[in-house]
Amino acid sequence: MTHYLLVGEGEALDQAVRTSREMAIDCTVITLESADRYNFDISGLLAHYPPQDSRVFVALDQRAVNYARHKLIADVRMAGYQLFDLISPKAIVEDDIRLPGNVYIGPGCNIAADCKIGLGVWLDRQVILDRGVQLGSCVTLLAGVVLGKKVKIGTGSTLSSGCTAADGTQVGRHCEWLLGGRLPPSLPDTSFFDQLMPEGARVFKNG
Amino acid sequence: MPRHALDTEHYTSPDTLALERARLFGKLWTFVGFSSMVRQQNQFFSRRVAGVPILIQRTEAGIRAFINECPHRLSAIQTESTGKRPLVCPYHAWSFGSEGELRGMPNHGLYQFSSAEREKICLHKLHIEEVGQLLFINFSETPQPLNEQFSDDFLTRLRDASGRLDSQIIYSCHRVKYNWKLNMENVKDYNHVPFVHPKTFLPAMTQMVRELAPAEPESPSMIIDMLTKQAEVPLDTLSYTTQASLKPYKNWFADLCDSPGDDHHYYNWFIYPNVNFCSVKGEHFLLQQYDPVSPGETDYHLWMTTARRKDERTDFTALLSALIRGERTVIAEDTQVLERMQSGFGEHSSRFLHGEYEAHIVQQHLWYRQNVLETQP
Repeated sequence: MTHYLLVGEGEALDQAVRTSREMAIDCTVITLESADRYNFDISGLLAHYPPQDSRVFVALDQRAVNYARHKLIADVRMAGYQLFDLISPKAIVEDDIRLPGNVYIGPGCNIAADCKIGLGVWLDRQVILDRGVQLGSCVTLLAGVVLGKKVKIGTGSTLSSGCTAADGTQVGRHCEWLLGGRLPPSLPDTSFFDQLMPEGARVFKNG
Repeated sequence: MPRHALDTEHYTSPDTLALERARLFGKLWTFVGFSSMVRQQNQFFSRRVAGVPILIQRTEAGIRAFINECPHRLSAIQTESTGKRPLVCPYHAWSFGSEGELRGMPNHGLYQFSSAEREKICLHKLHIEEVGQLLFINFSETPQPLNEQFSDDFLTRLRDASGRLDSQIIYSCHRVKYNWKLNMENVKDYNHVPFVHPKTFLPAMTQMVRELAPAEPESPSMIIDMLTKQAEVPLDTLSYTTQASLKPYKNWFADLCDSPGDDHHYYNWFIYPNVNFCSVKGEHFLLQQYDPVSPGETDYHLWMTTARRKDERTDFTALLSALIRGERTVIAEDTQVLERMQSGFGEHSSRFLHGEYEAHIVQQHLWYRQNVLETQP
């Protein structure tokens, strides 16, 4: 018998639980502990649920450009677990969409054909993706985000509630746009926008 | 007796800003950025310094500074704020060599410059100095030596501190509606912390404010003495370091970078005229610069980084985004106060009334009067 395990913490975990019930999946919920909200201890998971009999969904909040979710998914996969997706029955997802694992699609979402969805993507309520949208792994789109045709969002980036992006908009990797409203045509990698910094801040790696 | 050295008109007057551009920013060494931002050949950054567009680029000859203006039609050579491309004007594709000399001029037959004219065509090069990882430029043709503006001891401290900076840097620039001098005075005024930052900054400190030695009732005032004597203020005394004790705590990232570990101090290196370089426990660093745009407007540049990472694979993007949000929260508290002050300045304004703990500010004002306004109070 396959065990379905929801692991993580916070509101994301609560939301994942609600959606799994809507999907009528019988899941075991495991709240993970972490001192730094980055390094989560999965030894309890390993001790009680053998990877060959279990499927895991990682549910972590979106903060800190999603590195924590990325890392936990990687840890879980390295331990030999397979991932599963949570798709609300109230979402519309075109048949050709391939979901690579640990994807959350909330109620009211509408995903058009030719979209590419990355591992660990989290789409909150009523997110609309027009044709050809590409989302990198662990992208988080909060409630009501609307992306036009062929918009690209880089790995780990988060867009806040109510954002809209015109056709062809490109957002780099590990960005946060928390201002709502219409996105500029492009955002460079590791750039951050919120009410405190509406003009933005950006990390230069200078490597 | 007077307890002020500068009137509010010097925070609102376009004439004063013109004097500052000529006699302060036009003559002093000014911080522009970090050498780690131009590590590779043709890597550059561009920005404005007191309204002047400048360009810092690593060429075959090393790190060079130029006015960001093509000698042909004065178009910007580099149009992005950072990047990596050769010195080529995007307008008519004139290209320039490692010292700014003209290298190429497509369709040169159209210009019909004489050989003598062509030989003189070059970018306007500026003097540049590296102090550790800090880059300073000077607009003067014959700049004063760096160690006349900063003492040797201060330069050594800057080299030591900035030599420890990591290459991953988060940067923001936002415009505030007050005169740039107010911010430099604000950061030197530690007595505002308990009242303006009671929840953000104060809880980290071990004491509310630094204390002055108790004065005898009739002991002479240092401020009044300074103002009365009108003594000449040495420029190199305007840049100095301070440190304050922090409540002991350990940051989770301390072990991931070359930090001192058990250092529980907040350090400031005040770099005259317009930079506040700070470090929290030697673990993370911030550098604020207040660049004048108009008498009542300032571009607030902020760079933040950690001590050098032990492993280059460690990615501090998330950490840096959290650190800058914390710092911007503190800055927003100051901004509210300073913008309110600036908007209240006018002909009705009376004079500042400085207390003894503000001796550094009065000293700064005295130097400013003597060297920028060229007047006595």
